[in-house]
Amino acid sequence: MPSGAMRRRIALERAIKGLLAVMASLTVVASVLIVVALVRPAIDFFSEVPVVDFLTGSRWAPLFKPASFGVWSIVVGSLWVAAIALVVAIPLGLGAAFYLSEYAEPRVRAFLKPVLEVLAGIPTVVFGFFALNFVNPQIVAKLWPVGDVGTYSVMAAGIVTGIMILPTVASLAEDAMAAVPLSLREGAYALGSNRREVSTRVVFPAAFSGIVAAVVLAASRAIGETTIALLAAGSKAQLATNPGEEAQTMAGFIGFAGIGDQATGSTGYKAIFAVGSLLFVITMALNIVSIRVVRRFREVYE
Amino acid sequence: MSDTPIRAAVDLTARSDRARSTKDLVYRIFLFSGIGVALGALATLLVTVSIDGAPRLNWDLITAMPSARPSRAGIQSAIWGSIWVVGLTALISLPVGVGTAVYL
Repeated sequence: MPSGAMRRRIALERAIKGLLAVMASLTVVASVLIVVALVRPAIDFFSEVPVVDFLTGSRWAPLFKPASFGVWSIVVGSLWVAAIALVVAIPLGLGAAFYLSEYAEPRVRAFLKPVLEVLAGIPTVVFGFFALNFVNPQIVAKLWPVGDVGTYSVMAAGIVTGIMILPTVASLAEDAMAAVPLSLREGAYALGSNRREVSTRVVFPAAFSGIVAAVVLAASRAIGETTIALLAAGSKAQLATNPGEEAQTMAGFIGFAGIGDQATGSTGYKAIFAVGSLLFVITMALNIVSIRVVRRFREVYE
Repeated sequence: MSDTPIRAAVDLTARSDRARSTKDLVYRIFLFSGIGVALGALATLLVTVSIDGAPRLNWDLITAMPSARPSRAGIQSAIWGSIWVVGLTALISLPVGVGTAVYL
């Protein structure tokens, strides 16, 4: 028979354990509720607009009469921004990562890595403003050869999104390269390789899975990037064939419509959730692919 | 030139060495451009933001409320808005996050 104090201690222990379990389940419940809140209005939306029209149509005009919900044009807008961002961020990010991990002296590296992380810490709204007020008028409008560049362009949004995700690519890829054991490099040096050969033929294949993970994470951030697209890519939903034009993106539409130009409960309002679900599916698919690739190419060293 | 097999071999190595060092140079330029563009973008961003923002950066900006007259407008209300958001986020996420971590 335990004493009173002992019993109280056991009860307290149980209570704390219960409380902690509630908190742990809260995080899971919150995630599930978010998905439910996203999917329920989306299902509602698809009872009003056929899924086929949504996925195959390319006229996106939720506020027009008659409204049209062909999501394809804003999907293309997102793809433009994400593709341009990746074209900017993958080579430059990997270049920076190889430089930091294989070339830079420890002192230089200790200085440059935190500076890169400053770039990662800049609020996206500042990047958006930078795209709208500097990159678009000063760089894209002056250099883009095809057609006239207006106030907005997917090019400016894409370039700046690329700069935004560059430190993510560089930092994660550099971590993956740093995890490659020194003995592999030393082996290659002993055979007469130089730094370039070591980094492209030894470190790159050995760190490949980590590099892919870095790129995919950056890609899903680029495709879901809202503020830069909202500020700099424009709000005209059109199938852009020229990146010097403006084009609304999926995330840009959600941000734009979420501010309140859609009456609550209207089909256009529910369209926000349909587009959100689609965006969620796309990023989730990207993450699943990345997990597959990472598993497939992982090299484990002792 | 390469009248003996040894001479030919030496020529070959010299040529491949030259090709190798050209490749090295190109590769090095590529790596530097990676870090250079990142730092250049950061510098451009900071410079343009400072140039545009410096004239307005004074104590009034922080203490004044938004105003219809741009020269008198401030961001006090927006600062409080941010403080509320950050404070409530910390209040909600810290106990739940730490609790979850301890439980796991």
